Amino acid sequence: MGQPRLDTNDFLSPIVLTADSFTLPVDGAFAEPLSTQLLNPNRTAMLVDEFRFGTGFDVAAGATLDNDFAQIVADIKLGGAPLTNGETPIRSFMPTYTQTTTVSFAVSDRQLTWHLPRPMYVPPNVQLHVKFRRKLPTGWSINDANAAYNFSIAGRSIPSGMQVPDKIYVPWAAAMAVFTDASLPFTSNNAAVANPHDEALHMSYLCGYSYNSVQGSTIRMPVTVQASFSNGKLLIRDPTPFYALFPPDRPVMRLDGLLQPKQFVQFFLDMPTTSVLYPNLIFTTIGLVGYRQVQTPQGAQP
Amino acid sequence: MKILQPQWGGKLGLDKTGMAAVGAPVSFSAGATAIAAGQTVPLNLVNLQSGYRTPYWVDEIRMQVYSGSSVDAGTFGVQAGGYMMQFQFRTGNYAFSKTPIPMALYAPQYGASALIGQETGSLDIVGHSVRWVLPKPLFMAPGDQIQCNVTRLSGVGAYGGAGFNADVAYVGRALPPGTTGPNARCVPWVANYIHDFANAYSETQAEFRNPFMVPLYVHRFVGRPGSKSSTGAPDLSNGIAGGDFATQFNMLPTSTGIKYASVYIEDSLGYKIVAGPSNAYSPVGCVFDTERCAWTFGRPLGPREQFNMKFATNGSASGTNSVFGVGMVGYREEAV
Repeated sequence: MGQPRLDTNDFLSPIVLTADSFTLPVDGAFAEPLSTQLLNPNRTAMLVDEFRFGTGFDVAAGATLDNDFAQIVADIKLGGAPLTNGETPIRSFMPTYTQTTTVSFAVSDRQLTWHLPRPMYVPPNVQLHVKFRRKLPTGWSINDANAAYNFSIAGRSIPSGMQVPDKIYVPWAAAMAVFTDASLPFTSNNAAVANPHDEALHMSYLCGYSYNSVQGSTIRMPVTVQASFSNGKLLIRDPTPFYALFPPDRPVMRLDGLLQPKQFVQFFLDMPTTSVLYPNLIFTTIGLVGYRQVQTPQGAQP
Repeated sequence: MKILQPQWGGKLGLDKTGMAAVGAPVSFSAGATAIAAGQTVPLNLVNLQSGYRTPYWVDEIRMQVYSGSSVDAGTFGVQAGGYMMQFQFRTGNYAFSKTPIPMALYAPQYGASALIGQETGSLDIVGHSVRWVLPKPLFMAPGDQIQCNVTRLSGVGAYGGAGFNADVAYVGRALPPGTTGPNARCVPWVANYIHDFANAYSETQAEFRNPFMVPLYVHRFVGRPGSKSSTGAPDLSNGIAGGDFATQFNMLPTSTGIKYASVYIEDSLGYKIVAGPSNAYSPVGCVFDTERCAWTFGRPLGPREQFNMKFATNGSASGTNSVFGVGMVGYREEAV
């Protein structure tokens, strides 16, 4: 009798793994949660459903927390497999759905959660490497330089003796980002939102975040967005207001399609010349989140 | 054992009986019931019984608590809800919990508002509401009803003045007369534990145990911060359970050392459910997603199995009047 096959709908024992709290150096150096603390202590494989990134702020600093999250980029790898397209702003793939602290059933935006598009199979003893660092947009400052950050993964522990799946889902996040003053109109780099893999990328959603050039201001930049695929097909045909695509309380635009290997998405950002903010574009990011199916060595066997 | 599964979607009740096979939507409400400090009051049983002599599914239970008269929201706050108002449900011989459960620990969908039934001037009716979507729809035979007792802890009386009203509504779908019931039905089960920040350490005993001889399908932990004063009454200076947590409570470490709780969880077989650094404690904010105050999963607990939780209070500055509560929500299958 062979090993039982894994069904991701099975009841599996939940698990949350948290690494030591860490601070982010103000000089832009990397901080990396300890990878060994993110290994399944049950010494079996696991399915990871969520990445959680959060911080506790004191009351005064919490008021401008919005900015501090916008300053942080992440570079995530599972073993040798990249999950992000290099340094990627966390605001571009970890949406928060609660920008307001009033009448809330949540603890607001102190935590960003990346619900992976599909559960990610993590073999035993394969480490997750996550690096964070600050990348300050022009003119921005740090509100709480001593803030402690936490990184956790939430998933399900797989019993020992289960068959390794033939194919596994590997998430992917890639983003275009503007960190310094950019002249409008702005065109994103071809390599920014791309599928560099050999497998097709199942696109799940776009996530957008934009902030006023005046730090802390509640005025939203009247940025418009257009987007097209590298094969010429249109994704967003007309110049569409940024906040119509990505409302602050739900900054996600669902997608359901394939991005073929080596293809990319190009974004065109502009702003009405009548805007008082024209022509300066400060921190703006749009991320593409999806997953690819990768054949495991077991799956490759005849 | 085959279980009748509810059918989602389909047309609404437009047939001759007014109820299509998928079930016509129905909602029953107990009606506002005044609860005095320290009292436990059963809600109106007649109102919580279906007016139709047909079976029906219950999909969700909605709990509301609000002040009985106009009060100043600034001083009255929203302390009525959260941990101070506790609900206990049962249907026939089947209990939903062993003890009264704080309303904040039933579900992630929790709201506190000073705008419910707002009146003129600066005086508001303040209230809380919880929308508890049951883990699985609950089959109710004709004549069945959900009984509800509401307990108001005496500590709330410190801000007494105004009376407190509680209400429960449940929402479901009525089935056509003569519909055959399932062989078994999924009865919810809720348990809770509250860690007091005044204690450096505490741990569960048998709170999160499956007391049944059948599997208990646990589908969610709800974890929320709350507040109390040294006398047990809500403390406005520390914020109020269910209100605006963000500026008062920390579920994660801070740079200023405000107290926060951390937790370690394993099952009764010794398998780790939560492991922080060095397989030790993890800040509660990492475990119970701060956006939802909940952690949803699917895990059956065998008969007499349990989850063990250990809590620690970290940090040094303020926060002594805080608590952190955890609710475990699931269901078991009971023969009809």
